[in-house]
Amino acid sequence: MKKTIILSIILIAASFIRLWHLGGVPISPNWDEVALGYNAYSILHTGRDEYGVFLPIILKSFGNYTPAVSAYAMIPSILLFGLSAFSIRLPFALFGITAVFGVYLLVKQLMIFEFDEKKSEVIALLSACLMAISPWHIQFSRVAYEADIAFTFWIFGFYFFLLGLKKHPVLILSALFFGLSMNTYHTPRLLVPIFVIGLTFVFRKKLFLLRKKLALPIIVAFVLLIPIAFSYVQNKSSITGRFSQTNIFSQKTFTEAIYEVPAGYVSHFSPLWLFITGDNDRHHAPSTGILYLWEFPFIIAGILFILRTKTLKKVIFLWMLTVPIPASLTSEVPHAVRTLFFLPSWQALSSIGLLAFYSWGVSRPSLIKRMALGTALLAITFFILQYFHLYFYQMNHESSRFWQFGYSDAVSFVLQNPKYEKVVVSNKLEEPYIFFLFYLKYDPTAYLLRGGTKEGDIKAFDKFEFRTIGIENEIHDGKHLYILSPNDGRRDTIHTIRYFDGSEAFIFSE
Amino acid sequence: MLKPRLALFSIILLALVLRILMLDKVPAILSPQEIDFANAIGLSHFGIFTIRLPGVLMSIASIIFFYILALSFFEKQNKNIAYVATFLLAVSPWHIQISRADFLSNLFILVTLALLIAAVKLTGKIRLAICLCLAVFVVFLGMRQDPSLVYKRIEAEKQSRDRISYSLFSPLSKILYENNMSQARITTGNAFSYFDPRALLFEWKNDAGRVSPHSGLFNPVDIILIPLGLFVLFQKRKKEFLILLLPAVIVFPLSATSGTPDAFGASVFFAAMAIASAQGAFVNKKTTIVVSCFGLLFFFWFLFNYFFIFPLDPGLEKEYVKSFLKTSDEKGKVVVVDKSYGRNMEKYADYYMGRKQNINFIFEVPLSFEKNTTYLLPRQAGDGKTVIKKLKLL
Repeated sequence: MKKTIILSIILIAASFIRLWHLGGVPISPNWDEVALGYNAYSILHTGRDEYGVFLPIILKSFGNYTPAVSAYAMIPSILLFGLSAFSIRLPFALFGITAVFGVYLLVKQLMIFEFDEKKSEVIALLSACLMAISPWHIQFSRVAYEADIAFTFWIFGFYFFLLGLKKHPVLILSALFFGLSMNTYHTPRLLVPIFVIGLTFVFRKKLFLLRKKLALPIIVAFVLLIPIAFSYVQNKSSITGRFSQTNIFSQKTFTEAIYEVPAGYVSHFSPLWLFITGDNDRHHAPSTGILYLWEFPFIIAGILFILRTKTLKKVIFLWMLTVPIPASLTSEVPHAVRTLFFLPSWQALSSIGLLAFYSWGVSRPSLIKRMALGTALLAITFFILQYFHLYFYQMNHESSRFWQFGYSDAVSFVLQNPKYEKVVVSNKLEEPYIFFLFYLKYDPTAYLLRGGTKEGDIKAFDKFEFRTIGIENEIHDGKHLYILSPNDGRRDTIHTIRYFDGSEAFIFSE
Repeated sequence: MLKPRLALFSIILLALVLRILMLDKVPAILSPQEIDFANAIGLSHFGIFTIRLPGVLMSIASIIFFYILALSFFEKQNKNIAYVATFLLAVSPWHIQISRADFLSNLFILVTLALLIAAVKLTGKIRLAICLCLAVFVVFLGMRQDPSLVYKRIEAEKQSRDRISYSLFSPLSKILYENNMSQARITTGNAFSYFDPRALLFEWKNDAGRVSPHSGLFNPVDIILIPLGLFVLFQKRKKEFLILLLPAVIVFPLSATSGTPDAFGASVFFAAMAIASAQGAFVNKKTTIVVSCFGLLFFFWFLFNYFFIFPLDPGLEKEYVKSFLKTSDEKGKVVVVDKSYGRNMEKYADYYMGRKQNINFIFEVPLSFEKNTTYLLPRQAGDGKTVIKKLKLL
């Protein structure tokens, strides 16, 4: 009963943190979110994506070939709330909340290997609590990134695998969730096979006993690979395209890349990255890392503690050591999105450390121990409050540029000034057509009737044209509106939209 | 059991060869610290080899001291580990690079090792006193001067160039001021930067011109050996090993400066790592054989890149030095636009052009140029590298 109440409180807190002001923090959906959202909107109304592909498995989008599962997940909320930043982010927030519950189940199942029922329960609750307030998880469960959904599937796949060692029928669910994860995001396509092979090796004796009952899970896993295989046969680049763009071997010489892969791999264990800087500005709140700094000593304590264990040690290290493998083959390392999958392992370690610290503090209590506990509690509270301040207040001010702020206002400006017969938007504004389609809630049927999105630098619909602008050579008759990036040059500026730091985002010229 | 004298002699010979080979060519130019050292002991008129030789000899002495330390550490366990540890230090990319580029760091390593030997060998209150001395010595070393001067130095640097991420003692005050909070964050980040595995194992991008940016301070296989060794040592020799880790406190004062992470400052700390690495090599025979093969491969890669690739890209200092040498005959005023971001170009100018020269340093390209004045201006070349152009209006 008590544990149910605590878990409920944790889930309510997780829900509040993930749903509060969802459409407004981060300040604006970025191009990936908007592209997913408009494609979901298009599938809802026409059954086709922006390119006219019927019920797509993969979305071509800007050539990054995103798996379409996330877009399908958005459809109910778009149907309920209309096309908006809130509605496209809502399913991801809900998956995020589910992930908190998933971490509770998974960590409990893991801890049972070494701890008694009561301790396992406490560590699982602590891990769920840390997940609920985790900067890393909050960041990606409040935006429409497909990694968030894949991560939730992954957690349940992992949980059902461990549970399946005792109740073998649930191994089918494990195969189902791991398969869904592979169909939702690029990273699990490589990570899941490596990880499952590793788990099979660790639990080889138990699985050998179950060998006759493994046929069905294996069939399920293969069935779930069919969409990937089908997409590959239809269009090879829909599966390999993204990897071709991001892999290190395509960007460096073979010798350099060979050296770069292990260097990139170990960079995912850098305390500087984890606790202080993070990577891309879209991947963390300003002035914070992706884990709380206060977790550092507890993680170290957790590592020292699990070194004494048998199975737990193997599983946790397998988890931590395999997740960075796919990311290390790419050029942007360390990468918080591609390695989101090992977040609960850090939290499990942190929870073990916290429990050990608490047990030390309350056993034969003394003044020094009480002071240590009190100080730790104060420090933890301070860091958590500081993070929420940075995320919910500072981030919009400091990172509006990275979230491509300003498109909503730009579209409003165009709608308030119907006198312009032609609106030309600069391509330097990073795929502006998709933002205009999104904020105009442009009818997908009409868009597809005009041919949908076409290859090439020039895109157009109605009075909107998206291309390179040479402002001096354009027509200036008062009927043409030019929306420029600050790098385009300028002439007769009539309106400017600025980022929160005061710098120019959009410049409007006639 | 190896033949002790022969083993030690071979290791020292190998160490000497690795430290003396192409000593006048790698690193390509003298560092400001070497210039200071040369001026201080009157070696400035000699060649680079002579200026660097005392540092190398000091580093060989430090290998002998380290051998004594390792022997006293492992004498009850397995003396072969001591030889392996000494060998690992002799071929350590970190130690090789420091031996060849700074006298003072090698001297400090020697003193630290001497104190560590005393702390490991002695017991009781004397050990405690030595540990205290060691901690104080190392912290002072990190500050380089007495603690009261640190703030002044930081303030002075901040006022003059505004480039230092000063933040000493700010964790307490960070609660009060947002500004201090970011300083505390920088300090902590600086401290963590000493434990960045990518930098430590693959590419140390700091200490430009003195340490190769294409390899790490450790052999990459140390990522397996060190944790293994640490685990064993913490279980078996906790007290003694904590003593070896004591010099790591140098990270705290060093983190308060902008020049972090600093391979030279932190070098007093690597004795513990070499011992952990050697202990790690004795945990599992099969692992050690596999790891050694890779280790050898990485070691040759380090040697190749340090002796043949690193000198090709010596950094901005070399470009400035070339321009100083070309300008040393100029009689009029010389204005240097310093875009080296705190790499002490004034020291190079003093050394290579002589102190009589009328030289001014500015940090931005001037809006107008005076007649009869020679300007040394950094320019981006086609290949992305910065070159220094000479400009004189007559």
